[in-house]
Amino acid sequence: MNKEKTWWQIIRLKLLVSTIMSASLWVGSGQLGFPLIFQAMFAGYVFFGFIVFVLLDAPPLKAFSGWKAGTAILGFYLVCSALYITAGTFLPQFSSETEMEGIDRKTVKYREDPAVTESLRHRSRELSEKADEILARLEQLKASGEKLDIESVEVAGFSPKLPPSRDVSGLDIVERGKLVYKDHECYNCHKIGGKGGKKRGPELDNMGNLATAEQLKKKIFEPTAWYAEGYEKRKKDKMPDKFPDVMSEEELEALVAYLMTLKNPAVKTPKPVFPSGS
Amino acid sequence: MMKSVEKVCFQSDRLILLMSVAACVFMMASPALGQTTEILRPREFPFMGNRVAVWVVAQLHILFAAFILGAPIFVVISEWLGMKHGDPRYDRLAKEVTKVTAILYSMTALTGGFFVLVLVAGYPQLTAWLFNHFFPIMAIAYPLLFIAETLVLYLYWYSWDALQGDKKGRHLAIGVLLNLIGITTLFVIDAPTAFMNTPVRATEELGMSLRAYVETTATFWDKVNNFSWMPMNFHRLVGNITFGGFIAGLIAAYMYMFSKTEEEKAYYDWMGFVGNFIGIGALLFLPLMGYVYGSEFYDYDASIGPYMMADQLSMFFEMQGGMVSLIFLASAYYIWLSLKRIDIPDYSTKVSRNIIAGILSAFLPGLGQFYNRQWAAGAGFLIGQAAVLGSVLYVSSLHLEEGLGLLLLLFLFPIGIQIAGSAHAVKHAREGEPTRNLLTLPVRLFAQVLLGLEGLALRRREAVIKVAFFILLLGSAIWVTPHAFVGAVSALTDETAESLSLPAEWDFLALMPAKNTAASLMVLTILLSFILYTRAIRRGRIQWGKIDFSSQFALIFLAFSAIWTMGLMGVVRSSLRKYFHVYDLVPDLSPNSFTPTLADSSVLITILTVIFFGIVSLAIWLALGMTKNKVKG
Repeated sequence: MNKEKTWWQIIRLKLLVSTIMSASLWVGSGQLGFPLIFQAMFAGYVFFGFIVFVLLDAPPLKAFSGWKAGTAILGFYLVCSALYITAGTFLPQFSSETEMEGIDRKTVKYREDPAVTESLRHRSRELSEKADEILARLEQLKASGEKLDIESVEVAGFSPKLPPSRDVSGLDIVERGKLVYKDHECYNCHKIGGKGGKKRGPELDNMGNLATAEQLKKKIFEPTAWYAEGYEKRKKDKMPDKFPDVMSEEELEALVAYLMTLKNPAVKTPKPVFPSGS
Repeated sequence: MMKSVEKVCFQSDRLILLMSVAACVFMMASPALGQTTEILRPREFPFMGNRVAVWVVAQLHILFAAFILGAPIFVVISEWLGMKHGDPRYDRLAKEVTKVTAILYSMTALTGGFFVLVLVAGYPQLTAWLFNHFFPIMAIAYPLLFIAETLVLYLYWYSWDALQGDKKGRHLAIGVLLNLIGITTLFVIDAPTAFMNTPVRATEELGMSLRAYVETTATFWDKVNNFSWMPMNFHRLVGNITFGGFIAGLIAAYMYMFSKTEEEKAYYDWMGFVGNFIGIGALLFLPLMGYVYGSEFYDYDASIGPYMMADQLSMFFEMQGGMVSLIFLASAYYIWLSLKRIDIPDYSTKVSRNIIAGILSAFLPGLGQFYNRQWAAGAGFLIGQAAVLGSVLYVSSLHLEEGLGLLLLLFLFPIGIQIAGSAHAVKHAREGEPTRNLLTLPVRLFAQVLLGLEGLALRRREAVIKVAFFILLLGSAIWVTPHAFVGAVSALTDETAESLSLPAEWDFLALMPAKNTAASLMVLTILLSFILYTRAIRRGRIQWGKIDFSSQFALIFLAFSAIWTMGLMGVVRSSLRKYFHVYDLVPDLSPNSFTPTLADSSVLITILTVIFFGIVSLAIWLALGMTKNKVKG
């Protein structure tokens, strides 16, 4: 089809059209208020399209075999690998350090709550039995008068030396509440100060004027206790009922303390609707 | 030589199975013995740490497992087609893929055993926890199913030559049995995996915490039948068939490149065509399966949806969108190159029912406008559509390819624009503004005019495929347009929000309706391209072995990219558990509980994909390359 065409003949019209399209998209999207990065992205799409259409009209590749084919295959894998690693590295990254700080705060509950830790540690009947055996052995050793290094003793295989958690004790309770709001990703569904999720949940800017601290606590740990007006019948965007499982009482107190400070009547935070009879 | 290779493979299968069973028996027996207080402590893997160690072996195991579950489905379909059409090429294809499968079957077992050992050494408490909750699966059903599958695979392979002719049906039945066991194995082991993402919760009436419910009340079946179990089963099943098809394409590409005779080239060209056909055919269902799977996560916990698509994992999905787009484009490119070597002697001028149906369906978007109560816009659209159609039909000679081109131009593209416009309208309606489609109206009008002109210019089938490429590129562009170029929404500040985010009036481009539209457009475009392709093959004379050599790189690219994407989505699924081993239930208190960045993930996924390809390439060479000259078509 294009056997007689030279590369320049294949490229020239496409290059012209692509250049015009790129320039138009760049200017047009800029006029429409797209940030620079999106303007570049649109131009990038056109450039990618240019490569695709050049490839379609490219002359047939001459066949080769033997070591040339082997080398070509290896080279091709190298190019694909470099392409994907570059793309993955080029795209924006989140900060693992920031995430780890949040995880440390959120897992305080599991590190320091002995009841929860115990319940986690003694899930299996077999392991509980083993723990009993160890305790019995300890008693025997104690009776025999041998000196024990209690730090080196592990119960049922669980290391007692968990990594230390980040200290949040110095924070004001409202500041702590802001961190809880962030750590538990409340911003993905709610907005405060115009920032946050896309209307999955109500805006919270005036929540402090509309609900009591007790009502808020109830709502967070029992989402069906009451609803924000207009959200009663939503089935898809239900508030998760997981918070009693993943949030500590201390976090709940701090979060509610923060929410109670939100008293901006200029924002239309929906009113609470309580089920009849409650 | 071949026999000895098979023998070694099957013997190593036996060995690893024996080791696995012994390990299971030992693990089950140790509490019963109760004679020791020695407890397995978590050990730290050098250089890479425990999480990366588990990641490496688990990912490799899943890649091999996906192939050995997907390939037999591919093989049995191929064998059945061979029997049905009396075409010996299908039987040869099935047998060659089974040869490679046999070697990779050993690798599945070996990496599986390795996985268990690494898990036990790195995370003994978690392993014990999982064994306690899924004992019937992990210690009984799964090993037994693996043994049964091995035995049936032996039977399937060794009875191949004996069960030919009238007995072919029996051999097929063994193949079906092999697949039934394989699929059951997949479903069974998916249960604990899915449970780790979506552990069963108590009903609202019971009012129990997750922990209390799982530990005291939930039955074994409740834990198995968790939210994401069945969607995961189907997603993996379809993914495995895709996988099998693309690996068959890879085998064909290697063998084609190293073929010395025209006969061999013709056969492996045909095999590449079949592999790509089945791979892409199954891939078309994957976006839907993925959507259902993701939707189940969303239903389970509404916070997972935004975390996945809009927050911390959004760039992983950006990458996924790019990868899927590349796969679709590579497949279309393969079709393009295939069409070039089809010699079609003449065009039919008969108007087929398909074309009439296509033309009628072109009016559907207009009906959509009426549904939205946009009467004037709906009427305008229909009149415009009729005018464009009339012009095209008048000038065009209604060749089959042009008819399909009309489908692409007048049905798919406008419907995509309409859905995107509707998404925008819905957004405005939610914000209390009047429902108007004004913003997209100029775009739609421009599209109509442009497409009408394109339609008039359609004189060759190549032009139709180019239009398909244009639509694929457009769909890709919509798919990969993010709400904001940021690693996590929480990282957006007042200063950066404006310079990194879509303008408010354009953010519908990043909403699900727009993404779904893009995915639907791409799927339908590929589907129609395939219809065009198969019709062209029937009407013309395909010159097997004469395909452009670059098509073989397209096949290799498809396999590499599909497997890379599989690794990426595995990271996403695991990362959805956040800092938990079992979501919201068993926390990961190790220093490795954070989410790996996309950059780190990309490096590791690439390394694992390359290792996998190295082993697969070796298996292909052992199974087929060394005996190539002995094989007769």
